[in-house]
Amino acid sequence: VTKIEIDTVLCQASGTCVRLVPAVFEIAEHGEYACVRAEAESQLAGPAHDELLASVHEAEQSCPTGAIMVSA
Amino acid sequence: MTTQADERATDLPPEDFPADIPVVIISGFAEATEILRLGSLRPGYGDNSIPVSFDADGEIHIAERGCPVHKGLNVHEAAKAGETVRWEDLFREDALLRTDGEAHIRRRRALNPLFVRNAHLWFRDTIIVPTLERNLQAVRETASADGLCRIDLVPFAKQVFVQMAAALVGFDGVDTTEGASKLIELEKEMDQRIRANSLPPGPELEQVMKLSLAARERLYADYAVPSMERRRRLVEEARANGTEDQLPHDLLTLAAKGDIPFETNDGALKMAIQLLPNSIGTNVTILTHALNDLIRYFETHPEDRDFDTDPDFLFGALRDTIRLHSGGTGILVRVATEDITLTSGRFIAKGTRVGLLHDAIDRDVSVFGEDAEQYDPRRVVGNGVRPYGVGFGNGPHICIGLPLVLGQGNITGVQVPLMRALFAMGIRPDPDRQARKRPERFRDTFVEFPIALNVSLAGRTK
Repeated sequence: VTKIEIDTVLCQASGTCVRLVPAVFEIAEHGEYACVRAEAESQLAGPAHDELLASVHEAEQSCPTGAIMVSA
Repeated sequence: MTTQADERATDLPPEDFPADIPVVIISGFAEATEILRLGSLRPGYGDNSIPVSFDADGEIHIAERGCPVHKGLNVHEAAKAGETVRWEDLFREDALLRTDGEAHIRRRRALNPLFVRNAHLWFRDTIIVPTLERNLQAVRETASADGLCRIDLVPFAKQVFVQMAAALVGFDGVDTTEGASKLIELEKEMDQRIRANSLPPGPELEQVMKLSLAARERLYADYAVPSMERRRRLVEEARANGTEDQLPHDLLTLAAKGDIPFETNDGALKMAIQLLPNSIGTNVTILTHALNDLIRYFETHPEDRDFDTDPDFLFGALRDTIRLHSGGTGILVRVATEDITLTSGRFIAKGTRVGLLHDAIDRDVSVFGEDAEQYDPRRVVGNGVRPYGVGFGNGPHICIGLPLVLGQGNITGVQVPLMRALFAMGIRPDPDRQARKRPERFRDTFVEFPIALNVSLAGRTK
């Protein structure tokens, strides 16, 4: 199972991850940091798993503050 | 606190963009946010800066606009070797805005140790609180028999923020009034570099360039170099004594420890020189506007006056002030590195310069409501929208100092404690002296803000 964590202290809600993988990331209601969508787990378990996971890794690499951690 | 100030150095009204570069002007919040988040639109920082070169005697010469310029790091070395460089790059060689893509992310992440939770806690407890208390105590000592102190908020705020900024980067000798004044004067001289971009060739331009370059050299030699040397010794001693955990969490110490890597030998020193001014001016502007907005607000909303030392209320007030005043009438500039079609359907061709009208974006009624022009410390915005708009930018180049200005989690930033302390002392405009702003069209900045404080009220906080 792929685990995606966002360090909400490091995150500055730059929105880079949301732009890259809107199906998995969103900006929290208050706009202060990004969070993982509730439906992300089912999305990642779906048929587009490989493609989506590759995008999640791209988001992890692209986060300007290094706030995203992805582990298997 | 940092990168946005860099970008506003390009303050240009739309009509002043060079005619030969295609320009798209954006004034809506949604398009602006999308553009700022796109990796394919790089910051246009410094593109308008004057190309300069130096002769063998070190005399500066203005080159023709549009000529090839040095674009990598080691700008000063390149200039000494006879290459043409951009004027701004002599001051912002290591600016994060000069890089983009992977290089930018790598450098940005390298600076994380300066802003993570432990560093921020250290900054709050070791720097913010004592600096504030030391400066307030000095004000209290000026009180007349009736308990009133009359000060100018602008130099007071400058002193507080220059001391905090010096502590953040690790410059020594600034925690006294004399030390702070010396550094403020130097920073002011260096800040003249911005004027250079708008002056025609001639004696005034030459004088401004000489003055600002000399100030930069003194900042480097008198502050950056000796402070770094001291930190290297401190780190060595701490390692020998097993007391590394007691070292400060400032930029130079983290660099001396190797916690923040730099690509050039003096990268940390150059970064310190860059971070310092960006941590002062913007904070002074925000604080003065935040206090002015609230003082005026209480005149028409006396029912809220009891909240003037409530941290949550002040935080909301601060955010709406940043929305309304952080942009001035400045423009954030981006350059499209490929053809782009925004969600709105707007097409932006590769090479187009995109000017984001900061003020208009943060007053977008579709996002901030029909009263977007008005100040409202209790403003509520929609999901996913930052209440302070694009005041800190957005996307990969979002202001790196944001956590220190606003705070993160339950760790306070630099502004609210200061606002709270001044309201606790009954801050009000000095009835005998008028506040004054800079006359320039594109700056919304107080240069004088005389206030009266009442020391007998100190301690009146929620």
